[in-house]
Amino acid sequence: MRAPSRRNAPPGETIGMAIVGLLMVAAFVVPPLVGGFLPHQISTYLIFGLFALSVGLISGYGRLFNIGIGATFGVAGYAVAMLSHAGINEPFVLLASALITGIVVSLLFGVYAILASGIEYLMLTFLTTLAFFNIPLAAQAATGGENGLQIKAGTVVSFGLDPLKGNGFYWFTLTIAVLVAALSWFILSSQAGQAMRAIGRNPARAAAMGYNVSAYRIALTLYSGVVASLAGWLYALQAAFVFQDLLGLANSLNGLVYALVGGVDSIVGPLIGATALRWLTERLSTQSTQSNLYVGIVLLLVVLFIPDGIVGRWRQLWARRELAKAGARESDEPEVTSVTLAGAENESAL
Amino acid sequence: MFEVRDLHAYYGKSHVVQGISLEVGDGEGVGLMGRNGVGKTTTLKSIAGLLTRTQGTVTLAGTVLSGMSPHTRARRGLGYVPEAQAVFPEMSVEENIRIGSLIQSRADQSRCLDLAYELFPILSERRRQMAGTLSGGQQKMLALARGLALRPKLLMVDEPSEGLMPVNVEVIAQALKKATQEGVSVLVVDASFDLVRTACNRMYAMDLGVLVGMYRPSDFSSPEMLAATYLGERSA
Amino acid sequence: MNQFLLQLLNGLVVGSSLALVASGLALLFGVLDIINFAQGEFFMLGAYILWIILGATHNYVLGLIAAGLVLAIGGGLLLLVITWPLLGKAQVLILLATLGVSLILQQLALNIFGGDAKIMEPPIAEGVDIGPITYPLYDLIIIAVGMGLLLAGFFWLRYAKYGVWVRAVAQNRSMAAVLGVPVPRVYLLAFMISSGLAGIAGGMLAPVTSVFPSIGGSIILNSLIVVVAGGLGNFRGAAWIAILFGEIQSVGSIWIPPVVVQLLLFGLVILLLVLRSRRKTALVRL
Repeated sequence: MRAPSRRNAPPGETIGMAIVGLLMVAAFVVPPLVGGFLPHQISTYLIFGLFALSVGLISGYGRLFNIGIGATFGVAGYAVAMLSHAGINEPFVLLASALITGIVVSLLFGVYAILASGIEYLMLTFLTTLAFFNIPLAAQAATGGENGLQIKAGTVVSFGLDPLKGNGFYWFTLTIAVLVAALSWFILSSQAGQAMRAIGRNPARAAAMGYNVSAYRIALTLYSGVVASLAGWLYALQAAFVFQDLLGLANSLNGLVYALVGGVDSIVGPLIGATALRWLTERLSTQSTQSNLYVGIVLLLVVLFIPDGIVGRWRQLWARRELAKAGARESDEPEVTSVTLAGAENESAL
Repeated sequence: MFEVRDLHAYYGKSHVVQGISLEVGDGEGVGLMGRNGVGKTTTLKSIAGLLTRTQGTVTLAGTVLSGMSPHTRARRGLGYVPEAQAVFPEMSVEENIRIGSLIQSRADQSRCLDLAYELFPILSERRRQMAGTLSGGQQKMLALARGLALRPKLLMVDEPSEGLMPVNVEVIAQALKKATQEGVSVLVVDASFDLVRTACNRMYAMDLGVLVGMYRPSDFSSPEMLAATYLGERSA
Repeated sequence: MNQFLLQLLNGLVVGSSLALVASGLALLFGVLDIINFAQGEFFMLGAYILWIILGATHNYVLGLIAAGLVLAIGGGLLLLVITWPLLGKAQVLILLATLGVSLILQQLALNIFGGDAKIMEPPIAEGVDIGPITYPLYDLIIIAVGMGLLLAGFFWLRYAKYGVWVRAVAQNRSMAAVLGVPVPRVYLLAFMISSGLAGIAGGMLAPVTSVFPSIGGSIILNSLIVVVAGGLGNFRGAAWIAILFGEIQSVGSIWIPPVVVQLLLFGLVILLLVLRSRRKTALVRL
C-alpha cells in the first residue's frame, strides 16, 4: 500500500486565494453600496455560478462529462413552483423539496456513472436533459407547459426576503454561495477530495490502488446534485417563475461552458466563468441579436486556446513564472504532461 | 541495414528510454531481452512511430524514418507486431491478413495470403472466423502471420511466444528463422530461451531504459543462465 | 388503414434521410471518436444550397450534387481545421468546439438567408397509387435514393479498399497505421463523407420540409439519439435504427401525441443504453 503523496498546491494558489478573499469581502460590501439593480444582477450571477460549480465539480473534478445538470436545476425550481401552487409555502419545506427532487434526479445520473463512462455517460445525460425538457409539454396542467409556472405566495417562500427590494435577499444568496464554495473547497482538499481527483484522472489506476470508484462517483454526483438543487431553489425564489428551458440542453450546456471558461479544476473558476459569460451575453444582446454567433465564437476560442479556463491559464502563467525563477533552462526534456483537460497525450493521434 | 541511434522516449513524466543505440543487419535475427517494465515495448513503439515524445534517429535501408508517421514507416518496410490487441476484432482472419497487403497488387495479395496460411496452418482452418473470437494465442499467431506475410525489411515483434503452448512457440520460432533466412530482418522481444536461440544470432540486454550488454545465444548454456541475466547479473 | 400506410411510408422518408445523417455521425465517431454537433447545420446548409441552385438553374440534380459536394469539401475541411488541434485532448472539448460551429452557422444562415422558411417545389409533382392511397412520387424517390446510398455505403465499407481501411482505423487505429493504412487520409475521408451525407440528406428533404435556419436542431437531436441507440461507432447499425425510429415516430403519432412518443423513445433509448452497458455488447450490430 503506497503512502499517500503530498498534495502540491497549484502555482499561484496563495495569491489567488488572497484575491478571492478580497473579492468576497468586496462582494458583501460593494453592491449594496452601489445599489440600484446591481445586487439583483450579482445574485443572478451567483445563482448561475453555483449551477456552473455543480457542473464543474462533476465534469471537471470527476471527469464525468455531464450535459444534463439542467435537469437537476430545473426540477428543483419546478418543485418550488408546483408546491407553491398547491398552497405549500413554508420556506424550509420548499427548500427540502427542492433538494429531495434534485437528489432523485442526481441518483439517475449516479446510476449512469456506475454503468457507463466517457461518451456513453455523456449521451445518457444528454438524453435525460432532453427528456426532462419535454416533460412539461406532456403534463401541461401541472407544470404550465410551454408557458412556465409562477411561484406564488410572494416573499413568504423566501423567508420574507424580497429579491427586488433591499439587500436582504442579496446577502442571503451571497452567504449561501460563499458557504457552498467554502464547503466544496474544504471537501475537495480533504483525503476524499484527493481520491476523487485521482479517480477522475485515471479511474483504472485508482481502482487498482483499491479505491471504490463507483462509491466516490456516486458521492460526487449527489453532492453536485445538492449544489445544483440549491441553485435551482434560489433561482425560483429570485425570479418567481420557472420555465421549460431551465430543464433542457441549452441550460445544461451553459453550465458546462461557464465552468469551462472559468476553469473546471477549481472552485472559484465556474463562478468566475458564469459571471463573465452572463455579463458578456447581457451586454451583447442589448446591442444586437447576434448572441448565438458571439457565444459560438467565444466557445470556439475558449476550447481552442484556453481549454483550462481562466483559472487554468492563471495557474499556467504562475507555473511558468516559478520555473523561470528557479532558473530552469528551456527543457532538454520535453514538456511535462499536464493533467488538465488540455493535457497532451503520449500516443500519436495518427 | 537497420540502425537506431540514441533513442529517447517519454511516457507521462517518466523518461522511459534513455538513449538506446542498436543495429540489425540484413536477414539477421536480433533479440531484445530484459525484465518487465524496463522499456522494451516503449522502444519498439517509438521505433514504429507510435509515440509522440521521442528523440533519436532511426534508419532503415538507408532511409531515415525519424519524423515519419507510422503508416509511412510501414510503407518503407518497417513491420511491427505489438504484444497485445494486434488484430481487428470485427474482421475475419482473412480480412485481417489482407489489410496489410491492400497496398500491393492483387497477385501479391494472394501470395501474401498463401504464405500466411503456409506458415500457420491453424489459421487456414479458420479463415472466415471473426478475429475477435480467436483465442489469445491464435490472435498472436494471426498478427505474426500477417506481419511476416507482408515481407517487411525489418519486422519488430513484441513477446510473440507469450501465452502460447510450447509446440506453437516452436512453430513461431521456426517461422521467424525461416523469415531471416529469406532476407527479412527480425528484432524480437521475448522471454523464451528456445525461441531466441532458434531465431536470433545476437541479442541485446536492456535494463532501466538503457542497453546493458550484447550476447550470442551460445553464451548461454541453459535457460537458467538466461534468466540470471534477465534478473540483472551482468556477466554471462 | 389508409392512415397507417401513409405513415408507414412517411416513416421511411424520415427514416432513410435520418439514416444518412446518423450514419455520417456514427462513421465520424467510429473513426475518430468525435461527435459533430454541427451535423444538423450541415443538413441545413445542404438544403439552402439546393434552394440556391434551384432558384438559379431550376436543375434539381445539379442542386443535389452541389449540396453533397459543397458540404463534403467545405464541411469536411471545416471540421478538420477545428478538430485537428484538439485531437488527443479531452473528448468533450471537440464536442464543444463543434457546438460552437453549430451556433455560428445557425446565426450566419439567419443573417444571410433570413429567418423565413424557403419553400421549394419538388421536381416531380405526380403521385403514385399504392393500394388505397396516392403517395408523392418524389417522396418515393427519396426513399429509393436514401436506401440506395446506404446500400452502396454498406458495400463500400465491406469491399472497397478505403472502406476496409475505414473499418480498420475504427477498430484499431494504431495497428492500422503500422500496417500501412494512411490514417490521416482516412480521417479526412471520414470528415468528408460524414458531412457530405448530411448535405445530401438536407438537399433531398428540402422540397418536402422547406428550410429555415434552425431546422438543424431537431435533426441533430434525432440523429444523436439514433447513433447512441445503435451504439456509438456502429455505423451500419445506425442506419437500421434510424429507419426504425422514423417508423416509430410516424406510425406512433397516429395513436399517441408526438410529445409522448418522443418521451417514450427517450426512455427506450436510455433503457437500451443501460442494458447494454450491463452486458457490454451491442444489442444491434450489423
